[in-house]
Amino acid sequence: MLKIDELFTLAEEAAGELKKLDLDGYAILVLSKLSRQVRFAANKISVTKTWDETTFEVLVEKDQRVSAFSIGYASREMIPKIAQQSIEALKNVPPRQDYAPLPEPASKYPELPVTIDETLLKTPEKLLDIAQTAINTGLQEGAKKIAGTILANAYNFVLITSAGFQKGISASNIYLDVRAFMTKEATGHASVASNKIADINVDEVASIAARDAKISENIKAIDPGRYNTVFTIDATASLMNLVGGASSAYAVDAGFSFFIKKLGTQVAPEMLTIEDNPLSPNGYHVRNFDDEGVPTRKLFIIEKGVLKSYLHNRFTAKKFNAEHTGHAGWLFPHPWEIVVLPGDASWEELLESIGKGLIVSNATYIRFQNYVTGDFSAIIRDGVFYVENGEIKHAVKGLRLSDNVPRMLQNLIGLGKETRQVYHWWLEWGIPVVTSALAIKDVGFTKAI
Amino acid sequence: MEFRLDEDLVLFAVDYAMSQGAKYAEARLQQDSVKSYVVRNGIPEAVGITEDIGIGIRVLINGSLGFASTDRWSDKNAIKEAINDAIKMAGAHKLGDEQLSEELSYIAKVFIEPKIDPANIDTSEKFNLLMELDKIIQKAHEKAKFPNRFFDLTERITQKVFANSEGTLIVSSIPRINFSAFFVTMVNGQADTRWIDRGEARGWEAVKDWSLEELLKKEGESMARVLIEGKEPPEGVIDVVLGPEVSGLAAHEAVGHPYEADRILGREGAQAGESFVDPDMLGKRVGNEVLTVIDDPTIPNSYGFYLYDDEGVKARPRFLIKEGVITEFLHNRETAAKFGVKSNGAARASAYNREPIVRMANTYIAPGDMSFEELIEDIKLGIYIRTFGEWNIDDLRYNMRFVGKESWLIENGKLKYLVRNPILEITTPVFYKSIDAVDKNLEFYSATCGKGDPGQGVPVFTGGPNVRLRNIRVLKR
Repeated sequence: MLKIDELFTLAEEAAGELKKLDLDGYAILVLSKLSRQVRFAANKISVTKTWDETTFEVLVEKDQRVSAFSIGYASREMIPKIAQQSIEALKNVPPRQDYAPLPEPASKYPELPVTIDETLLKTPEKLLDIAQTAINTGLQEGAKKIAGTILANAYNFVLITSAGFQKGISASNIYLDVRAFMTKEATGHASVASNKIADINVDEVASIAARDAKISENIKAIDPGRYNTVFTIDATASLMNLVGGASSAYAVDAGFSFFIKKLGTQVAPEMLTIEDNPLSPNGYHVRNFDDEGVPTRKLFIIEKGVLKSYLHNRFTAKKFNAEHTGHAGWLFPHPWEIVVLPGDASWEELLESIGKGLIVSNATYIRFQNYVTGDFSAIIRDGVFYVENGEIKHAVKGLRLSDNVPRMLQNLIGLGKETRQVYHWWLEWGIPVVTSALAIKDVGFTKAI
Repeated sequence: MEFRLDEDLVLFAVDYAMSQGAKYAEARLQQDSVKSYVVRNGIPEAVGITEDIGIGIRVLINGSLGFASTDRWSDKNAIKEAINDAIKMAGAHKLGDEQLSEELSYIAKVFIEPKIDPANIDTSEKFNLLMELDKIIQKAHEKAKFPNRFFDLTERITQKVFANSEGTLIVSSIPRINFSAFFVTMVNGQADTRWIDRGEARGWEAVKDWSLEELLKKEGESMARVLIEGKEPPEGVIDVVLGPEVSGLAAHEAVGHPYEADRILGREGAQAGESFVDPDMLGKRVGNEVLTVIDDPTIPNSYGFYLYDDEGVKARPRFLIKEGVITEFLHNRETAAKFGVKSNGAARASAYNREPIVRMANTYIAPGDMSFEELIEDIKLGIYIRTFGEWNIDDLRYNMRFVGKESWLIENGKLKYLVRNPILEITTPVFYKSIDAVDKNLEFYSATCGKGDPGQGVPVFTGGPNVRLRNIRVLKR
């Protein structure tokens, strides 16, 4: 992994080459990352992986036409040639009607209280220990089989734009994902994420997975239908990825969103407030500037149930006649880190609030029949439990979550007070989420024959 | 197409890994050159270019597998560092018992040349095509509006040099081209959405053959008609006919995935999941004799095409189900060793920085010899699902669901009228057993199959003919 000073030098060299071309604007993002992963399955470490990568992301603009390219460290001498060719190639293409120039740098940027966790660089074998601890804890807690992943990244990156912006970030992030098995059907799962290895509570995550796998052994079929449902932290993180993704103005404009024409409306009860916050001290995805050099900030997506803002880059801000929100990715705006503000209900109170109903511990494979209406279904697994009067009676097999996101948001009836940060391999939009568990009434479930 | 990769660096990496104590080593120098063109709501957004090049090395040491990659592929010191890291991390874990199956060694070159190199087509022609399609979809039906439209055209060349410590050296260059469209259809305040994909391992000539103008007109009109004319589907147990787009998806999800040996062994337990299939199901009858499902990487021009896999094993067609009987699982060398068989060439890695894992290529239900009319002629009441929207399947690949987009009521052997969102929620064994006939109209559809952690999206074909299922429960939303 290259140091941040080296990246500034590389970016400035590339910028020097781009200045020789007849461009209206450019941006150069250089990312150098050392990543390590340990995967384990069937109670054994199955593979270790290491990636060492330095990538140049380059954006060039001429006459309201935009080209973006990505190129590896070893091919960086090709940057001016590709820049020239791509601008030439766009000559006969109509200009972007939503074009806005790269923003001028702001006078002030928020502090980012993070740095690289040196453990990841100096003692990578620690990751093997974490994997082995997860296996041992899961087995000690009674699970028959443990599988999972630990992935850690240490990275430096810098951004330089033709508008005069020049800043860098050094950070790291790490997640642990554990799945426990008693049988093929009786499984449990939990995940935790942070930007420091010390925050990874291996025993907690492995114990939750093992506990839910064991409860799942007493599994029965029940009728499909509508049930009041508590979604655990891990399941809520999956659902909140849908909310985060749908709040991107790009998704709204392209038709991938159930928030079209919903701005300013009550989309959920007052108890629900969802922020995007890339400035948290233990955030998985921290940023104090976006990919256009605009300062990031804590932003309400939903405040007291009202949809307050779409997430904008310069193009969508122009098209929507809205304020730039500091969410520019390389080509389209996206959330950095979704934070669901906790409620005040204990886990026991959440369970009691639903009377007879279900607990759903993981929701994956979420697919939309209709992105605009929000009709979707999802596979539920790793602990689906039937509850009566606050007590788990038995696990449930064969059900599928089949509902509608806007309806589920409106039917929110409870928010837990305990939170955890979740990031793992199959969050639909790849957005880290800090959330508590929540309760929703009349959730739809179907079943295969 | 110019081939720019250096065989000597790959051989150096393998030799160095072996000199450091590896029992087995392989190296893959891979370059993916990608250009994509996006038009959204009539606006040409940007040209996106990616040059992704690097070397990935996998070692077996102390019974453990270690993988490392670097994008400083031309720097021998960086290659050494990556190998040292892989050996250090894998070697530090001393409890491994991994082995690889014994395989033949090959020296081969696989170069696929496009008839028309997309690089020779002017960028404006590509954008103009997408902008023309944007206009066509808006006129697809006079009573409908199409307020949100998204088009993507992506061209890719994948070049690889693979070598291992057993003497295999494979050099390949394969072009691919892909078109995606997404649009929202609005009629009287009601909205519906639709994705379309086409992709092949060919050049610009494929785009011409896809007749995209006709395709967009047809699919836009179809969505509008479903919203205007679509009636409630009947609920209950009836016969169902799945069109090739749907039967191909079922072949991929309900046959291909559960027959991946790494899932059967639990190696993907925390990621893609396991499988309802057990090793002792090999040789068991699971369906009628009309049901044959093949995964074949060697189909010329197919989106999932390759002739040697990413472990250097020669590719061949895999008969997963033959005349209703399970005959083969999908293997790489790691799973083949555990099953005591030879690999059948199913190891794929999506980029230089990904380990090769068990994947499908082109999975399809084999066609029969009936016509579509013969297939539906004795159906008194049924549903024909031509295209689908929502779909998913659990991680054991046991419990699946498809929701129709363009779907028709079948009455007394004839297509009668359009129905809205019929839902098929069914277990995989019931799906297999319920198929009693297939017609001769085999079609393939391109898709990107996701698996692994970090995710590996690989190009595949899904395919099949029209497939008839008897006595299936149909639901409505």
